[in-house]
Amino acid sequence: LERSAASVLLRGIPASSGKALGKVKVIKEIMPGSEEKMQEGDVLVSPFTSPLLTAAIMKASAIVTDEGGVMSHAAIIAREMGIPCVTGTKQATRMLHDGQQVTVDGGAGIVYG
Amino acid sequence: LSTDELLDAFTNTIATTLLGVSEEPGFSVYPMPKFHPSEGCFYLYIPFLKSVHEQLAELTRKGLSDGEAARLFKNPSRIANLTYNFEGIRLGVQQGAYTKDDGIGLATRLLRYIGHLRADIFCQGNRNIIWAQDKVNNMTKGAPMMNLASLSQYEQARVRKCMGRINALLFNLCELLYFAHHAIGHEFHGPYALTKRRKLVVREYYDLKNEFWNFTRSLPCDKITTMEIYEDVDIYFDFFNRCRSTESLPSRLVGLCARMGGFDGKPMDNIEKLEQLYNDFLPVVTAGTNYVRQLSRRDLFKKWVEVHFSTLEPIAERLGTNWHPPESVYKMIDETDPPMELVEAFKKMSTIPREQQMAILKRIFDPRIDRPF
Repeated sequence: LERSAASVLLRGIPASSGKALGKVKVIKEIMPGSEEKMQEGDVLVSPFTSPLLTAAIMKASAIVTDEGGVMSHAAIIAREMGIPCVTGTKQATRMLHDGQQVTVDGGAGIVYG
Repeated sequence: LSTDELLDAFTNTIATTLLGVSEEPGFSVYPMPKFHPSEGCFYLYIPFLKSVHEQLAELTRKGLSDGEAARLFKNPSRIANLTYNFEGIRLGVQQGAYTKDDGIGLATRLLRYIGHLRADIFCQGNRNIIWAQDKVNNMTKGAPMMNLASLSQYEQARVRKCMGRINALLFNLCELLYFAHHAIGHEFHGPYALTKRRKLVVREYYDLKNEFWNFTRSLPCDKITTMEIYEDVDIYFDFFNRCRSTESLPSRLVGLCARMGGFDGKPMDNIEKLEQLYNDFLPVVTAGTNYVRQLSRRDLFKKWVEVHFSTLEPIAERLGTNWHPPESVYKMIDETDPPMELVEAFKKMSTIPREQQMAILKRIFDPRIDRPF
């Protein structure tokens, strides 16, 4: 990653290690059907996660949140699933947009574009 | 430990644990279940703690030892999660539901029960040790363990992905059923050293079918147990049974034994069975999330109260009494909003120095103290 031309889009708390490449899907509010736009392998971007987002989480290749830390719901679930997770970015839901291709480095707490 | 030593250790543990969370952004964010846990606890403080106090005292009168009474709670982390309610003991005392000595007695009794079920009451060594080494050896020796090294790389990846998803799904289910006190529905224990590099983690998920959540009737079973062997990863458990690891777990999984229905249940000893288990649970959990989403705050307060009372079912069965919440609790939920004092206190927590935060949190959960603020 460091050698590539990818630029750093966001930094946050490294909550679950690993790297994943995928298309961003932003879910700002937990509403009926809000997870339907998630496809298998997408990067879930949300203010925070909860069990109410289960269907979306299960399809995610990585999770990025505005809030939370290493013991937040997103972090615990990501470590269980073995997918990268960056929490506490403050602005992921504002900076990232649907369909954007990103690489999430959960060990470094960085989202590359 | 004396009563004071026990309560000092408890208040230190709960303050340190909560402070660890409060340092993280979003501590005041509770997307699920649409209220801060302290708001939900408000409805439990008097009726639930009074019921726990009376039923445990009755068990003692009937001659049950502390160890026997503790085992009625099934596992230690269930009791540990009930200690969040200690912040309300003083309210029960103020309102005459029980005396201060009763409140302190209840708190210490529950903490001592935990001591009958795990080696280190407060998990100060970051381990949750429930099984003796002999039991670890016996349980792993005869188990139909899936050895990942015997599988192709493709199959290993499938097992790791599936097991990771199963654990994440079941954790979410526990949080859906029991809210922030998810460990009422699970006990993760270990890590037990097997070799220098390998360790065993045992996961028990139980009471997944809860009479207060209709959607759980469609679940294929009420219990899932797994024994998972990991290599070259550090895994930690805290007092409330929250898990932390230095690496994501599936990548370090080298052995697995999963069963539906408890330790003597049906083994899920191949990839197809594991994937079937996941595929059977996912739609039920998804239906559960859709149901929970449309519940109001008051509906959710009622569920919160009900699932906490359901922890008393085995005790009430033993005593031949009723464990369901009294009608007065439902009336209270319909007619009274929870006070915002504690919610506001938690929100303000991050704006004051750490030592002060520690001191306040210790006082909030200390049943010996009449006024925490």
